Amino acid sequence: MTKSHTLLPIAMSLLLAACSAPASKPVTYQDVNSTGVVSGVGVESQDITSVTDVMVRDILATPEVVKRDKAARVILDEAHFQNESSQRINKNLLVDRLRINLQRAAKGKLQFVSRESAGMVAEERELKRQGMTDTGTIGLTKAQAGADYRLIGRINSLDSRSASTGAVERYTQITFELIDLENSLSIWSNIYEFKKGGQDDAIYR
Amino acid sequence: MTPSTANSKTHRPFIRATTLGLALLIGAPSYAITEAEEAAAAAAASGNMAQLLGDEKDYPAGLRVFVTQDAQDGLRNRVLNDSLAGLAAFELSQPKIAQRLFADSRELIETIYADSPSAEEARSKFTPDATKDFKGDPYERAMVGYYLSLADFVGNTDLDNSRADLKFAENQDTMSANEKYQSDMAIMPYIRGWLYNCSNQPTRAVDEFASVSKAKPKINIPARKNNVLLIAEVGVAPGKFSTGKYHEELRYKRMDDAAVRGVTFVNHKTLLVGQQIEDVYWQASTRGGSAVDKVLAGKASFKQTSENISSGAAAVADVSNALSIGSTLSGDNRAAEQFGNLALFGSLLSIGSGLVANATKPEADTRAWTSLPDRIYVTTAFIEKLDGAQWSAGFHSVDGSLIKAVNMKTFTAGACMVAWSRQYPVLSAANWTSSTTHSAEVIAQCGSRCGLVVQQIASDALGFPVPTGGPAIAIASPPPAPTPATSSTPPADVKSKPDVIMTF
Repeated sequence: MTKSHTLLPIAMSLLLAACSAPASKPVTYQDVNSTGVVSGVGVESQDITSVTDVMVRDILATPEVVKRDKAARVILDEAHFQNESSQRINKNLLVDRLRINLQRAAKGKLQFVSRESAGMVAEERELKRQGMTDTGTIGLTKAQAGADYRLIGRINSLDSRSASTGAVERYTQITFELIDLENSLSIWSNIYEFKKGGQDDAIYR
Repeated sequence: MTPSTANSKTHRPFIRATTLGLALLIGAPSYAITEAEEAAAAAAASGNMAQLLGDEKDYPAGLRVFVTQDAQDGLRNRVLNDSLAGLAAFELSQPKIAQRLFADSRELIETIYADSPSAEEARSKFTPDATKDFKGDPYERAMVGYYLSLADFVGNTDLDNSRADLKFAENQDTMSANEKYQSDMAIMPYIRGWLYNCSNQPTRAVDEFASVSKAKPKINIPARKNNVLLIAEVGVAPGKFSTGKYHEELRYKRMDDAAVRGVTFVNHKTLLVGQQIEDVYWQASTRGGSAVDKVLAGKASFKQTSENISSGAAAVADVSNALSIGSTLSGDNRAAEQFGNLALFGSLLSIGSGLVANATKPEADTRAWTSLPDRIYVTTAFIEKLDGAQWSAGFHSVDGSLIKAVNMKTFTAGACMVAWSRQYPVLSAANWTSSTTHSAEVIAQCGSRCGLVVQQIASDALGFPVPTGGPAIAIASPPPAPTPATSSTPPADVKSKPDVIMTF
């Protein structure tokens, strides 16, 4: 009896005092290759860095692309890069990183044609030819640069979910191909795939 | 040793323990948040919508109420406030703002809450379910994907993300416990198929429309060339309320009065009849049992047990007290002391269990996205010139009579257009101008009681449950403006007659 008298108020007090403080955290820089604190099963920053790094290395190891007498001209933008996955994504995150890292690492073995800038370039060419501006330091060319290859690709995903356990899985597949713009041949291709799974807390199921 | 002395000695440990307990309670703030931490937490958790929308002058004044509410609610209600504000932005013809808000909602919905303090707290017996960060029920999550797809459509020639949003929406519907009701939201593949046609990918469109026909065989599939998608959202959102002894059971009710049963669309001399493609209430109510129901049932059971112990211990205390008095009067001091101690213990146990029972919070989370429609009607059309094309939507009663007509909001992307309308405004009726020509066109083409509409209503009834009407809402008076997220109390009239009981 005495023990009960002793423990009960302590237990009650501990129970009432057991309130938890909401967590907060100041803003910090984080490694782009790290898994963030906010994570889902889709493509995240570490996936973008991984996939583009792999593709850069693989393209640079492909003789048909880099071991040519004249540097190959490549269009590498998101125009023909399709997102067929269930994730909303800015495809420029992938293709811009791929193009910039490739350009830096290729050291002149590849040239990149900016087709998205074609309109802007055409306007400037017109001004030069009308005499509104001088010819700049490069001089005039007959036409804008044509390209030898163009990147195409696709992001696909397969989602699965268990209604009973709340487990969510997503298989993501990102494919890349370089297409010869004269004969349609695919001269290089690679695939990057990963699968992520998680289980939401029971209160969200 | 006199009885009084004995009692005093007996109670000394209790007094010590109580003092210690109080000391622990008083000392608790050292474990709780400091003012600085509280301010930091508030800053971190609030105001995100303001960051999303930027400077006040950059977004319509009508959205300020949501920004203010978000600053108060923080992360706990961000998905809800984002969704309410996103739909309001759409009504205000601000699809880019809607896109930001719905994208934020989607991101938060997709975040996996594992080892989350908020989720852990909500699972505790002493905090209500509504403490958790709101992600919404599957139908609400799916509707985030639906609206985001419309927002992602606007002004984009690349419709990949718009289609991805619809896949996301469809995935949310797979959370239904009953396989029969998983992925049965026909509107998602319908719009996706139409978007594939817009992107000149007819083969993919055919696959999507095959899914639509499988789910809803009566739905007419859009022609390949149809470049306008017409959408009319009808009725008010499904209601959520809690019932059960401790309000631990979540239930849904159709809140719409079902006054509108058919829809027409008009562009110049073209009259089209909308077909029902979605019943949002049906999606809400066919989810079946969920894991959180078990959590809440466990909390309710714990509360019930605590209450039982409390009342049982109180009864023991009463009897012991009476026996103690009797023993004292009869001169049996030893028995009196023992019964006195038992009475004291019973009282303490009763008080303790009562406190625990009172502190237990099994109430179901009834926060709901109140600006959703009850049903969605669609059709598609082809027009040569999208620029300046104006469509109106008419809302008809069950006999085909036109109740009201509004000019639709149109959004274009490349060679395609979405025309969107609602029976009830999200924010204000002033955001929807009445159509002056719709009525004349309907009467000219199919009479004041439009037979085509009546025919379509009969067809809709083959694929969807016939709405019977919930609490009466006059057609002329729009439902209350979407109230920012708070735990709602169940409407008095619906407590006793739930339509669907979620059991596990």
